[in-house]
Amino acid sequence: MKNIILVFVVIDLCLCLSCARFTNTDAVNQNISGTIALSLNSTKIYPSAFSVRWNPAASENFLAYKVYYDTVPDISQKSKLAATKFLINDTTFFFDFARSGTTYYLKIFVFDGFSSAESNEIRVTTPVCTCGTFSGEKKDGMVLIPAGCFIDSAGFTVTISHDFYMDTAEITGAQWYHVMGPDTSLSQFPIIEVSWYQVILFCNKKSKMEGKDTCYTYSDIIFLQNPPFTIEYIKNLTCAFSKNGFRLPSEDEWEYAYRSGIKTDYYWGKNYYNKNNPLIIEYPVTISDSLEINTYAWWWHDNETNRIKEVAQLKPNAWCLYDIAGNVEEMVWNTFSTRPVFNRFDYFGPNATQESFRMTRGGCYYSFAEYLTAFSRSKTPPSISSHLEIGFRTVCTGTARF
Amino acid sequence: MTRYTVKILRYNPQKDNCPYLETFKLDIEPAVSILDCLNQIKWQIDGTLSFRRSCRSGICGSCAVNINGKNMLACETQIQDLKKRTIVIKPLAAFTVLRDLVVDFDEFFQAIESIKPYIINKNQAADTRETRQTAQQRAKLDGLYECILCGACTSACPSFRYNPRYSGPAALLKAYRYSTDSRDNAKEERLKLADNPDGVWQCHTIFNCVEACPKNLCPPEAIEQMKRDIIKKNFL
Repeated sequence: MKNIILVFVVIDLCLCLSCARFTNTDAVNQNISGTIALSLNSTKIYPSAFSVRWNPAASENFLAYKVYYDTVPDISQKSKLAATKFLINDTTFFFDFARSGTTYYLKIFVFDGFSSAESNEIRVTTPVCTCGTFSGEKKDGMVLIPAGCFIDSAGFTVTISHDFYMDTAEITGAQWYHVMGPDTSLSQFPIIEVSWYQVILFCNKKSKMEGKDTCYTYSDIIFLQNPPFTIEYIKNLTCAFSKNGFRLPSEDEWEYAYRSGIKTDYYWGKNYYNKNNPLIIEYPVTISDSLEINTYAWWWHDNETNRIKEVAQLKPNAWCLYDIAGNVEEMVWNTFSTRPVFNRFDYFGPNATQESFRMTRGGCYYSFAEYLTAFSRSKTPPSISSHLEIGFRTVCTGTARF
Repeated sequence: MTRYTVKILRYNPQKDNCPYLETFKLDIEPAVSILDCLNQIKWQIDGTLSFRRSCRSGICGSCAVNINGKNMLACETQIQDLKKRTIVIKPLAAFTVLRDLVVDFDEFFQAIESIKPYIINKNQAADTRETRQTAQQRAKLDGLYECILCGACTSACPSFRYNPRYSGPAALLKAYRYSTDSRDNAKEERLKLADNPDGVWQCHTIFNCVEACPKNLCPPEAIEQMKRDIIKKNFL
């Protein structure tokens, strides 16, 4: 008897709950009125990004928009989630991880806690990835690199949305001491034994000297007592990439400039793969290959030549950048992370902490062939200045093309 | 007592085709070391677990293992400092695994042996008094002599992983330590040994070894100084 009463109570409770849910749903459905019209912002379609917008939902109990996407049609809530937006008037979405030459289908779902409404489905095809047209324009030792797109070593699409000027050669000792003082050096060797933090100060100081806006802002510089004047940490360091001052390139800008439109590992259009294992680069490369590399990069050839060399002695890449493969490794802005495995649009790396290492790219005068590639990466602590193989070249942001 | 989940990479080459993670549940005090956990597992749960240990006070360098992705000494790492209830213990990467957490250090010690890690004094006659050292000369060895040869640095080095012929940070730090010693006069000899593609020139100052070193030493500084000496010797 007790059991029967219990069953009745449970059924009753279920009915009440379901009634309550029906009532609420009805009320809310009345709140989401009208349709959500999703449309593509046709002026903003790039190889690795595009922009969509939709009209705001007419709902008083608005909770969130969810953007779902896939490469096949019939998008539902089981498709991939691109973004969730919690503001009712935040009705644009910049899809910045698209693959070039790929068709995507998108749909917006509006949620208000109890029910959902969906928009129309749109179809977007991203353009094929191409690098920009190189004009050859040079200014004060810098060359204009056109905005464009490249496919990285892992096959991901990377877009650089702005033109930028890049030093044709690594910053030399003479250029460094001209800015940082005392201006007595005539060295045409790339500057080494400077820390990443010192380079940041160099960039700002050079921007001021040449009447440009400084890119880097920070709240404080902390110096070490021993050894003195060594920068331990620059607090709250941020970079305004859109300003026209001097700054370090991002990893993607560096690789885009290195590749200069060429898809092979090396900018002179070659790959040196091991014949038995195509996944690894031949070690050591054959004598004829090493003679070929000698014409483009200072690298480990023999003990006789194993030291840094004066800049701009060998053949440049297609965009007039000297020694980008060898001589010294080059500092970039990005903090250390594993190789990014997603499509990128103006990607500047993860946020920094005090412990963050910074990336360096390219090879140096004692590197083997595998370090000279477009995708060779290394890292360095930003405060240490004792490196004998790490230099840098600066860039200035030019016109935004996209 | 707190319950911890300890996952250990097990591998017995006579029995297993490939390594696998085995999970142990332990009720222990948070203040005990990882080595104590390993001992508790070996003594109370599974006697077949193999790992190296000796001094349990951070001097012998036997118990370096990879704990939650970082190379550390098991005896010096307290379980509460990891701030995690799940602990994954693996053998040092880049070395051949002999069994469970025991790796093959043969190449590591061969590299150290090759750079002559002992004082060579060619001027000293065999039966004279000891060679004295001033306090200043001794101070130059600070930050160099403390290496306990645990192998954590060499295992963490990406250059060593790419090219196992590379001597490794531990061997080169040792080479620099003996070259710096005022009682030694074989610096030229050691520089010659280190000046090859698998010696100092394999170091790209990535500083993984500094992060891994349980004694807070800085092998790249020593290696960079050796590079400077080699460049001076060859070109200046």
